[in-house]
Amino acid sequence: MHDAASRALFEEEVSKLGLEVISLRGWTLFCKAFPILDVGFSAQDGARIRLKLVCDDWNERPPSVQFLDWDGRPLSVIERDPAGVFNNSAHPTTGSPFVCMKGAREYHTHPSHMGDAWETVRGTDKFTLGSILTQLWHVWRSIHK
Amino acid sequence: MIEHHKKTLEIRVVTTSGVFPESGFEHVPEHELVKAILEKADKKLRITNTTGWIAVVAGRKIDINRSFRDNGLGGRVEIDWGPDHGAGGDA
Repeated sequence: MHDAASRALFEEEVSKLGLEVISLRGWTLFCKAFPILDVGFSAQDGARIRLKLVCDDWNERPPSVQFLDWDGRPLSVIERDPAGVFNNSAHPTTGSPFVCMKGAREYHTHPSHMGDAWETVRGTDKFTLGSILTQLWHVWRSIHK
Repeated sequence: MIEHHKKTLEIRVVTTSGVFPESGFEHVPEHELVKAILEKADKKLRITNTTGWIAVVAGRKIDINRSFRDNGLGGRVEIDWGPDHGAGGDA
């Protein structure tokens, strides 16, 4: 996708992440400047994590999702969730833990899921940037209430 | 003469596509099904497919096919409306 079109779509979707949803979910918005959407999740038990969505070529490609600590350092180990979305094994491309779920670039480029094409869900309500973030939020909530 | 007072709630639906209503709250009777206001929100926010979405209130998933009263809700309620996470792969 053309860079300007990608940026425009990114900014349109990110502009809808209003104070209400950020406040209700207790999110911390670290960065929303194209192509980065960097959001922190906090739990009542004190656990925190940042998810950095690298959205270059949005939405021709899904975002690459990186796990960061609260200071922005990449995590080499992450907590597993019951559904197995947060995957601790090294991704063949990045060598890092990754999100093993539709909507994450690392899922669709993983050799185990090459047949599960991004194009089949791209542009649907469940796979906007906000919706992908919401899905990851629910994964996080399954670990930390 | 017996006077019936219909209990109402103040409802706001919060999504990553926007908030319904845009400002303030919707006043709805407690016997109304949760999905009724979600459908209004979907229409206003131009959300067309909510298959696999869940409604959460104060950290608790609620049943959208039941009424607010049957979900034990009252007063002012913010509904967090969005897609549940997909299944993890076997990678």
